[in-house]
Amino acid sequence: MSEQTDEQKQQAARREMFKRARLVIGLVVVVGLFYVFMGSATQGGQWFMEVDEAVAATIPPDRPIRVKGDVAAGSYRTTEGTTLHRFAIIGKTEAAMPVLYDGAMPDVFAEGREVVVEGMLKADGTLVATEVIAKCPSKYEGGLSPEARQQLEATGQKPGQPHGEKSGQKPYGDSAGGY
Amino acid sequence: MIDTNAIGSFLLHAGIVVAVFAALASIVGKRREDGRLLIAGERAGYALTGMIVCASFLLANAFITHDYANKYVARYSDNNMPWYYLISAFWGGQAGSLMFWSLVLGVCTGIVIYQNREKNRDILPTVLTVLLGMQAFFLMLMVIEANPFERFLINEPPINGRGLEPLLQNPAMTFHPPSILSGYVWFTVPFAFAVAALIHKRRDDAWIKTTRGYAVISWGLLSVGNLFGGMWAYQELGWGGFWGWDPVENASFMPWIVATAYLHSVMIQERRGLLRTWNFFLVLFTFFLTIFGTFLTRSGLIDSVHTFAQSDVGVYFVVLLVGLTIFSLMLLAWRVLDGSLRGGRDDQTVDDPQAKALFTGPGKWKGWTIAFLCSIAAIVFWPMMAFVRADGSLPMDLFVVVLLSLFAWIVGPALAVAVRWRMDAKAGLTDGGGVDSLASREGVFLLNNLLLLGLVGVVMFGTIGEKISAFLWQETKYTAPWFNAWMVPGGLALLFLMGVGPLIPWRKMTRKSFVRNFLAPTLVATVATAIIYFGDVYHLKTHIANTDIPYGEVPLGRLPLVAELTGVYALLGFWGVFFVLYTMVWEFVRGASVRARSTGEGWVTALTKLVTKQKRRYGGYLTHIGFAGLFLGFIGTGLKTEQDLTFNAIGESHVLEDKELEFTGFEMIENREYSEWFAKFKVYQRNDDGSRGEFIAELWPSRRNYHGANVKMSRVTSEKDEIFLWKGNVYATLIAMKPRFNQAEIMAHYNPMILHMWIGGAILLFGVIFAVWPEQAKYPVFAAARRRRRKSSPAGAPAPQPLARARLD
Repeated sequence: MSEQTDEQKQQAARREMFKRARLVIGLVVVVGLFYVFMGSATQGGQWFMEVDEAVAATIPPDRPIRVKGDVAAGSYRTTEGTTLHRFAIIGKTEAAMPVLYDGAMPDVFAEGREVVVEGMLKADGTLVATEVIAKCPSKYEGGLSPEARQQLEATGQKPGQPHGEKSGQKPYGDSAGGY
Repeated sequence: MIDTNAIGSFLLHAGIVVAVFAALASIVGKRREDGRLLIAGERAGYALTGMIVCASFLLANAFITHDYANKYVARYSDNNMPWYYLISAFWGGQAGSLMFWSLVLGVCTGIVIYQNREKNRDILPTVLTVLLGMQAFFLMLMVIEANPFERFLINEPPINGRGLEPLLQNPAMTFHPPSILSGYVWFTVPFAFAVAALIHKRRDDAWIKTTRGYAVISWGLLSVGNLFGGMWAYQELGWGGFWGWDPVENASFMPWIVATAYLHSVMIQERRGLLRTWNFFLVLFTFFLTIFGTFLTRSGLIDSVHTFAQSDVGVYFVVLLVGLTIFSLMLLAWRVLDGSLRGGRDDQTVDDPQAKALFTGPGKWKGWTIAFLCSIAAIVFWPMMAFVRADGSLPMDLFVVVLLSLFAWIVGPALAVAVRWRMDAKAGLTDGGGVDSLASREGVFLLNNLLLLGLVGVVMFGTIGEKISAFLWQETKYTAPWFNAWMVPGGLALLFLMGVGPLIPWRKMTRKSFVRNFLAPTLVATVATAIIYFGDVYHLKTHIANTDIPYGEVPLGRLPLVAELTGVYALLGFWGVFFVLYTMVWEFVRGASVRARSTGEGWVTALTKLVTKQKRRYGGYLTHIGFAGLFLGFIGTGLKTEQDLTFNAIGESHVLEDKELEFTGFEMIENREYSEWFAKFKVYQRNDDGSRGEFIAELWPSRRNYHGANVKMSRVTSEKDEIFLWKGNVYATLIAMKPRFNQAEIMAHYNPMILHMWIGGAILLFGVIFAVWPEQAKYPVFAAARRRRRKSSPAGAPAPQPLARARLD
């Protein structure tokens, strides 16, 4: 009788220890994962900045960033027969950032328009773009005429929010910013 | 002439009254045990269903008859649209999608009342109250903010409508929104039953059994809806992929993930009576996420490339979200604390003086405190609404509220469970057993659940992290590479668990059964993967050999997240797919041969009977097979090639993968809606020695200029063209063209195994339909007789409940 209870006690103690060990291992795994996750959250992704901020900040060269600004008037150059585009984006101050982009431009791109450029900075401060998103004030509304817009507003409907149009690029496949 | 819009509008207004009446009748009837009131509530529920169906017909009719006196119809349709796009214009905008939501919820409510006319009578009133409360919310939203029957009162109605956004005019888009929305709404039923079971302290899994069909259908609708969404993106957006981790996509992906976790963890409760609290949590959380998803899509808080349904109802959804959070979490915490959800047998009586004291004894001040805190939250919350900007957009303050409620979902239940454990430990109570070993079926389900919830955390952070990071460190946009870094290893682990599940017995696995069950699938998967690797299929071997993984630069913990691992992940993915396929197919084969041997039936008969006898199980396995197909498609995105090709003269050709594209000229067509320029290419197979092989097909990517009758929608869109091949599709979008100089620039993609993915999706859908196909609807006469017999025989039949009798009086 007592032998059996002893055995049972031992078993119970072993089970208890096993449970505790499992808890500790689980905790270690969770904390470790959380640490890695926070690392990827703070260091991964694309930093999202205005031109002024981006010019002022020190950005590591392999850091994927996403800069918002207006295309400077008279800065757009493209070579005929290639997909190479050069332009500069400016913010509220006069600080400008030169952009080099190899790829297809979105249809709504134009000087003076607001754009969001994704890419990485070169050492000389040029932003080498992987994607250019041109903001068009009324993409969804498809170029509403002023009268139509007035009528819409009068009847209580709101014209759409500004939308981006992506250049012919993919969200996949960039090796940058993976972790 | 009758003004149908006025009727529709009236139906919506009246619907609110009926919904509130039905909910009140149910509550009061339940309180007073008054059968007549309960019946009145149910009939009002039917009436409401009828009214909403009528209202929806009126709206559909308005679209079909081009009734432009209706603002919504004038806004989202025009005379040129074919009937199927007219129907899909129904949910093309805000008001209509709310109407659609209301419609599905109404139909659900009707079905629930009908299905439960003889069972679950004791919790049905509460279920109805929840369903009708949700219905009332959506009706009110429509009436106040977005009435689909609003008319032009001052201005003359236009002669033609403004039409549907061209991007949305795609067959996949006619199915995507309704299936996602129905998936969301369908999950209201499990939610309502869970709430009712919690309120009435139901420990058994009757509520789970009743709502299983709803949960599976909801899950299936969400899966299919997401697949259609991917198909639409693939066909229409022209970047050659189907999933870009856009906030709107994530919004419908998150409830799907948690619903997946729920469908699996339910099996542990049914089999072992474990994880009651967890299952309640999953149902409540899934429902929260469906509303959260709607909120994300509608509020415009997070900038998305394709927010078509943006509007100013976001505020109402914040109210709903916070209300839901407080209500669900309080209810759950209460039941956890008073011990009703502790493990053990279903019929075990809960007698826990300590817990009782928490709410009824001297310690009942705690209950009051909780109620007080709850009301404080509500009081603090309402003035915040004043901060909503004039244009209806949401300020950060409201976002903080949403963040806090999200946080509450993590902390709340954990806290309640921890307090409960502490109390149990003090009182020396055991929790009625647990998962003995991770190497068991329930262990695998548990791991799958933890993994899925972890993945939801990742998706959630990636979606709203833009706002969080702006607070805490540098504003950061989390894009596809970031998501992939987490989701790819996570998905692979899931794939592996999917294959392991059926191989592991319940309770505990012995070493012998491990070897016996795992040897064959492991061998087969390894050999098949080796063939793919050494055969250099899809350049897998070359890809891996050429990849330079920066071992030195990356911290060890972060190594699984580096993007350079694509090739390795593809290899692991192939292994997982073969492993899963083998396991699943083997389940069918083994079951059928066991049955054939024991019954002496032919093999085919045995298989059919086996599968139809256990629809849920084998439907589930079919779904897993579908998933293997989907994973092939995912692997394909890691192995795809894309090239920007410029053709400067007719006859010029370029090489893409093992294909050769020859430019043959332009062609233009014109119709009422648009003119379209096609660039024509001939696609040839390319031999190993570099010479041109046989002709495969023509590829005609184009640019479309919408003009038609509707000048306001005028715009240029790129239309892709695609060649479907077993190994991989050739896909091209026309980026730029100069027809006069015969110049064209295309983005050409080679997308491996896309076809496998769509086939997998079809199998998945088939599996879901198979799993929920009703059991005995074939012979209604027999079913009625069976019911009569069940009523008369006491043994095995549920005791007649007082409320059911009330109806007979």
